[in-house]
Amino acid sequence: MSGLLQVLQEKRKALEERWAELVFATYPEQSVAFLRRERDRFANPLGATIRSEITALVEGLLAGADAAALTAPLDAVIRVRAVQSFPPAEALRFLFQFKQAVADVLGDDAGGVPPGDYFALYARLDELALHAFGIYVGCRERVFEIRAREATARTYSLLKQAGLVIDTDVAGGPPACPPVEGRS
Amino acid sequence: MRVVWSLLLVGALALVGFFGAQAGGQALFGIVLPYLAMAVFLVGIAVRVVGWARSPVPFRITTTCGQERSLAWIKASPLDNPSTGLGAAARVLLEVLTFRSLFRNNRSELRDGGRFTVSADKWLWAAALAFHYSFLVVFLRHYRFFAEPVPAVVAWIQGLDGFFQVGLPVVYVTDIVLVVALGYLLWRRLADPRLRYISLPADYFPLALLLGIALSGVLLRYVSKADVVAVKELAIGLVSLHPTVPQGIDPLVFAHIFLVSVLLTYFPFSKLVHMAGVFLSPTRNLANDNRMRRHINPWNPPIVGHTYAEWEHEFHDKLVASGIPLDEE
Amino acid sequence: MPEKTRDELVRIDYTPPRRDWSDPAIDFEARKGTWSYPAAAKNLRYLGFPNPRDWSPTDEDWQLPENWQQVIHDGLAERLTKYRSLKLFLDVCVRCGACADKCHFYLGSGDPKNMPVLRAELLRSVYRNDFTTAGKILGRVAGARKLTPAVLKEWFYYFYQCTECRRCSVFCPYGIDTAEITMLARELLNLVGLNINWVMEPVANCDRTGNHLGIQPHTFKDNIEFLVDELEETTGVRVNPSINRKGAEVLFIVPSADFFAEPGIYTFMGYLLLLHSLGLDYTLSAYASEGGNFGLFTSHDTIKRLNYKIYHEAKRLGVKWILGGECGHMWRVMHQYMDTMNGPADFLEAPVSPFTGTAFTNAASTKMVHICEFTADLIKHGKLNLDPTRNDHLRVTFHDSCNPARAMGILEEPRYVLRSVVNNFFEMPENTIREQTFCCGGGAGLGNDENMEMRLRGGLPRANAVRFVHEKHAVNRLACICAIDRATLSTLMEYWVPEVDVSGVHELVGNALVLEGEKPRTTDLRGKPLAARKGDADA
Repeated sequence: MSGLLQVLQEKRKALEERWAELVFATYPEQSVAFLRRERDRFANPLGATIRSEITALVEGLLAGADAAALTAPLDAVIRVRAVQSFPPAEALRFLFQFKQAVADVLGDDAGGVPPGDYFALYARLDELALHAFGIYVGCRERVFEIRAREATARTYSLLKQAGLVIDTDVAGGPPACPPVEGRS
Repeated sequence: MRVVWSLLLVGALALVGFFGAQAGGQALFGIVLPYLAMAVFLVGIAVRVVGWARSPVPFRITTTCGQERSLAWIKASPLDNPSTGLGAAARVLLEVLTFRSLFRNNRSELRDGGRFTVSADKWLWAAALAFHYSFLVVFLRHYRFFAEPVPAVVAWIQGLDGFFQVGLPVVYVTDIVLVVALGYLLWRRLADPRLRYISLPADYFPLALLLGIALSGVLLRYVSKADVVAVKELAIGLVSLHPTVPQGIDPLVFAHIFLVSVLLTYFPFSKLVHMAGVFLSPTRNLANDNRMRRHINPWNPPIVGHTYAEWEHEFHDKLVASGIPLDEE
Repeated sequence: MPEKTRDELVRIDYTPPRRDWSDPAIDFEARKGTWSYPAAAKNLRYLGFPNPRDWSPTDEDWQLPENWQQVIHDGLAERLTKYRSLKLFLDVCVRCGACADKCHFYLGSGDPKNMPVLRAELLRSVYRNDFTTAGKILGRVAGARKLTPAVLKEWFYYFYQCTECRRCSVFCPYGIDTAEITMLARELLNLVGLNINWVMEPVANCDRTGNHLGIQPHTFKDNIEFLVDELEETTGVRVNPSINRKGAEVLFIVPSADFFAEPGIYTFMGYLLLLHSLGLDYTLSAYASEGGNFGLFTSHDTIKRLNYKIYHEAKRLGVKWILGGECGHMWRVMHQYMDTMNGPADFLEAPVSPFTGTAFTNAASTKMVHICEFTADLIKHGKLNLDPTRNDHLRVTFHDSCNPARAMGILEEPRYVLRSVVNNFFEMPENTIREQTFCCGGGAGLGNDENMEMRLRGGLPRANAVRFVHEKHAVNRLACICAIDRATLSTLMEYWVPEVDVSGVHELVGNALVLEGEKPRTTDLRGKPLAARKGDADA
């Protein structure tokens, strides 16, 4: 285990706390204290989600998990931020705040860490960020998909009656069609 | 900033009372202003209540917080969803006496092992209740200044309040509770950014004023040990409508009385009217018997919607073509 | 060097600028996805509403009438004399903050102006300025604000960001009901032509054709026949609902979304099966085919205007009493407004179930019974032949819809029905159900697609609780008794918990109900295969 990861493992609680704090700080000032303080996950779904998923992300990052393995916690945070008043860059800023959290918890210990350790850890973070980009786009696409679906759902029986929609569930899929050349 | 101004203002008012009385304004601060303040308070509150009462309650918009009364075998919630006037009265009474809605402020927590527990966020409830009740007791205790002989009930409350027999003069529990509760209520407005954001000067000022009144009272009792006999003479004079200002009253008494006068005057123009308003709240004081008994709206406007005849006229041919029966059939 | 590295990484200021809440400034362009499109001029013209025009909130000039400040001032003055609720609620708030974290929009967005206390304060500040002594003398120190164009824009933004769910009212020590404030604030906005199309178009359509989509009567009938055909395909039983039939015992009113929208149509199928199996003498009405009443989101006068049709039609058809389907705000109107506005319904009879003899004394005056009350009574008396195993492919939780929960208190009836028709029923956490239920985020006319981001935010607290029971109990079906819920919760689930579908309670009744002469059911009403049962392997 490298020096940096070891130190961070020891300060994991502080790292999680600090990271969550930084993410909370991206919300309106008046709400930060509530997000931080209210621990009931039903009374404060936003704060609870950030807190629990940050914990999972820290664990994954320190344990060297690859980006795909962290899809669930990443998705949970991004799914929320993708529909809040953040421009795309701000929605994903929380990931890079990890670096600040690391710097903050290391404090004076930062000097003793070999630069290579930072590169390794932050390279993993970069991978995570690229993965996050895909998740973010997926969430935004989903928003537009459900807008389209909703429009159909509203008049579903009328459209169906008029033969304008096909219910794949009932029809059992499209009828067999002749094989397309060149496709196996 | 708002809180600093409120505190400074109250401090200044106390000084006005303190030095004003010494500068020969004893009759002003001890008699004229208290009478004026009382008059403003009584008339002001009456005007407010009459003002509310003059606006009718056009609809029965009870907020239901429990099971309705419907089928005989389903247990209804007589207090949270009252179906009778009596139930609604009990609901309001419990609201007034126990602050039930604030008590509802519960929350659930997921404990280790996935066990689900409901705990409470009841600080606001506790502090509000502590403040209001200790204020009530302190208020009642003051009755001993206004009546001779002191009514047995007041003496009894006094005895209970000083139950612990600590200090000389005996420390009243409510004095401590009152100051602590007010302090907490002020502190939470400052400590929570959300509350700081919603708080207006009109929220800090009454708290500061009440704190000023409480602290001046505490000083009078425990520190300066004011001449109780003289104060009682003043008080009895006021209530018997033969006001006199006896000699030897501590100027701090006038500061105390002046702050109370300010409170009485301020009361009807401020949010403090919630004291009377809570009884009139239509979401709480009406029974949820909407479908059992018709509620009358005194100004029910004569609105007629799109009538069947108009509708049939517009769609006549389509109705006939699709075999939907017409009216005359 | 290490110091420098640290400094470079650290010093970023995330604190938003400190601003007093009373400084309004809404950048509508930047906040797309959180507001609704304004009402089309044609709808306002049809309804005779003031200031019809084409405009957008992103315009600098909202084309208000010349004297708009006076209009709003006079409108507020009038309403203060007509509604004790308004006057009292504007006077007695102590800003204790108990409501602050109870609003789903605040919880999902963190926007402090979504705290109920501040939403009301937007109106209250203007009230102080115009109507109170302290406000007139002390101005901003007393929390008073002049009604400027910016303040009006803020009203439009935030009063069309309240779903009138009344959750805050449960926790308020004075029972201050933000729904009431929002309703009256919207009335004021309507006076100067600030309204949203998702409300005004349904209002205009309901008024003219009888349903929110503006479907004409012949298409309405075709549509019902289509659903009857579908139902026959699934069950082998042909039901035969009648339309506009005089002399029926019962007029059956449902939200019109149940005729047309997915998944509401399956709830409608459930109603049809139930009433068919009983042989109830009932009729639907093409004229009064909308139980929902978007007047509730417009003005009290509009509620009355739309609701007028219900008793008018009941009287014309000569029915004895009215049965109402599953719908949230429809029941707020039927329960709290209809009798007062358009009663007395002395031409009807106090409702009695013809099958159990139960007199619905709680509806003795309005003469309208909720279908969950009706069905619960039937089940209790053993009048229905139910096979709950036909819902074994479902693991169900129940969402209390805001209005039935907090403006009526119909909590146990739907639960009793559900427990009788499904084997796997699980409750969500206590502070998210019953009177503490969380809104779907799309009520009060906000369930339109341009407002999607706000809806998804506002729906987060509800979705979060659903996700909890989904993860803990593998719940895959969210039942509710509201047509708006059926539409908006479906969307919410699709984004937050895609494994969970939404349905009405009576869809599940329809699945479980064993009918005379039916064919063996292999699918539920949606055409989804049923769970494999013991003995099925032999077949």
